[in-house]
Amino acid sequence: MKSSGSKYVSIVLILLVGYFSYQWWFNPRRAIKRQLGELAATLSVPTSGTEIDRIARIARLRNYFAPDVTISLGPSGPTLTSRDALVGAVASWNPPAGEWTVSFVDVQITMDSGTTARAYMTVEVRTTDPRTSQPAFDAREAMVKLADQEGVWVITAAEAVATLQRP
Amino acid sequence: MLVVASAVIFGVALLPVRLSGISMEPTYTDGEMNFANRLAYAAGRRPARGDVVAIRMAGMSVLYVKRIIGLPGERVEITMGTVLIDDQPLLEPTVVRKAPWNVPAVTLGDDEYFVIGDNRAMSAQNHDFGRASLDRIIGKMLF
Repeated sequence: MKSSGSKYVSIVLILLVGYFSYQWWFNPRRAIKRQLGELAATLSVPTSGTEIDRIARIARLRNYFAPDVTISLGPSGPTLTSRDALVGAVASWNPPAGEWTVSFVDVQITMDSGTTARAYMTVEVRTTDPRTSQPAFDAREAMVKLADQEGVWVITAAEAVATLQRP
Repeated sequence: MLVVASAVIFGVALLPVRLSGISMEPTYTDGEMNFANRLAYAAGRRPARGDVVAIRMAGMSVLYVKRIIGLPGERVEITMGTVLIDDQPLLEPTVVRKAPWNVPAVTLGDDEYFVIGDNRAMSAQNHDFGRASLDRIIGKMLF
């Protein structure tokens, strides 16, 4: 009886380990959240960032976007229609000096199929006002479309969502 | 008992909010703490003009805190800093200084409210305001 009981406990343990491993590594929602978290870290600028760090981060951006990605920053902003255009825009942008922390919060993922998904989120940017040295904060809603391309979830489209509709 | 009461109060009724930014000055200042009363609009109660409300973004982590100036069905316009509701000037005792903003007229839908901050001395480009749908208004600021 005792050995039979141990066998059942072992099976249950193996099933639990398998379940949590799947949830952690292979669940598409988790993989997408992990990918978005890495993208947020890549978009963030540390205080001690050097020019080489900046170039490395811009180069890493290619890993998160499809070649034909479409980025829309709202009615008053530009629309970018390729990964090269996006990387070029980021490279030519000269942000104010200081630390930038980008994070995606309240991320809600909808699986449209096994290989396509949408993520709706709030994008937070925390920085320091260069004039006053006071912390500054901004947030915007965004809708992102993703696709699984060769085992990696990449962004195929992203658009800003207006929380408050201006006339 | 205390734990259960706290869970009910802060999980259901009151959402703690730390204000960030200057768009609601002088009513609220940057860094101030407040609570959004999530039961304010329960049981069929609707937001009213003058209410300061919390408006959700994608979730509850980041909220706008704004004052309601326009109600469903009304026509809202701002001319040289003066808010016009159905062509009548709106008295705004909470607004201390007004920059000469001009915002074209808009007629609000059945479930739409026009929300704006009290700080109209700042540039309109740096101030988030506009129409918010009722389903995004999660509560009224407690004080």
